[in-house]
Amino acid sequence: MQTLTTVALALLGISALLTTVRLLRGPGLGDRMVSLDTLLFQGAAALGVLVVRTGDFTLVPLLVVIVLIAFAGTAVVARTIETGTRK
Amino acid sequence: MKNAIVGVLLMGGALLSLLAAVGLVRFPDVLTRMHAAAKAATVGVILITAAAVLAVEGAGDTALLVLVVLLLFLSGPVATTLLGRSAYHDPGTQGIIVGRDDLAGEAPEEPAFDDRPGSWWLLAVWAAAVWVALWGVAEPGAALGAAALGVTLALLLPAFRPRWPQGVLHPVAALRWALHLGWEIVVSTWQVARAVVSPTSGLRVAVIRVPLRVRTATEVTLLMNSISFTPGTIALEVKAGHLYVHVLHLASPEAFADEVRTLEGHIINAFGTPGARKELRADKNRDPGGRAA
Repeated sequence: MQTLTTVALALLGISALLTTVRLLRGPGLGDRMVSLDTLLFQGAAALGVLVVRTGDFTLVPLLVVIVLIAFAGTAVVARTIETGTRK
Repeated sequence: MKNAIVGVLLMGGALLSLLAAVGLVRFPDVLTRMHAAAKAATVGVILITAAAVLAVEGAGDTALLVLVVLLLFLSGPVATTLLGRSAYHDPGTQGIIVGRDDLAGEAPEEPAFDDRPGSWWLLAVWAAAVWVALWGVAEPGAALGAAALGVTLALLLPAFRPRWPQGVLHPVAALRWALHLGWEIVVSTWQVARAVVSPTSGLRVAVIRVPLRVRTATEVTLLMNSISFTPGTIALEVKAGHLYVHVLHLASPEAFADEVRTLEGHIINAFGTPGARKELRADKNRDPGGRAA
């Protein structure tokens, strides 16, 4: 299980690097928001992997928090893009 | 045996996350990138949370898994639709790639507000359920504390009181809807995964207009959430009784409209108002052996 979680964490790390490429390149606000959102979910996934690795279940409620923060962030940015359109 | 399942779930989640990131870099515009990213958000996190819950045994952990899946279903697709819609209509968005576009030239629809009064005790029950699931204990003490917290929140925050869903829940039909949606997600995750590693010139992106049979806010929300939750489709806009869906890879407009009709039928049967159910049955009788299976 240790090797498996290491491989999973490595895969998530590579994903995060690729996602950062899109975050930096953009070009639009929407692209950057999708990238940030994806980074958050990769963080949530990494937390899940850590739970399996360490057996520490107290991290799981953090997953719930991350899911909710991701939602609030995206909703606010979407709203900002939209009100910008109607100026 | 358990270890093997945990391993498969972990690897599946991590690989989906990688595919999503590759799609995010390779896909040509913001909406197609959202299709790729949605996979990591939904299926990947669900798989890895399931692995975590399975690996660490304990009472109440399943409740937490259900909570995570429920929150992902309720919040993720709404965020996807909001962002997709705003990016689609934003003149500053560059290079949106669409083949057939039924929404071209249409102005964004003004959001409609539900002006019914909210229910304070619905918020209280919801807050209490989340609290108990988070702590993973079903002792009377924790439940009582949760109820007290829920009532306090509901009284302090009148603006957040939820409206009652319109419609009647049929548990068996709801299970069938969940199974149908689960299967659709498996199939379309596979299709999006293939699209991520194929040449992007092979994509057939389209915005398709589908007539809506659902009427109430609850039914429309559930339909849009189901569509945006499934990788490869994003519900963009509801306008004049029609739903506009951004599709990553369109096989044929008719086949896609049929898929939406099937999903719609499941939702009406599971959560619809009695009137909508009656209409659905009349529809089926008029069109016996109808295309919607």
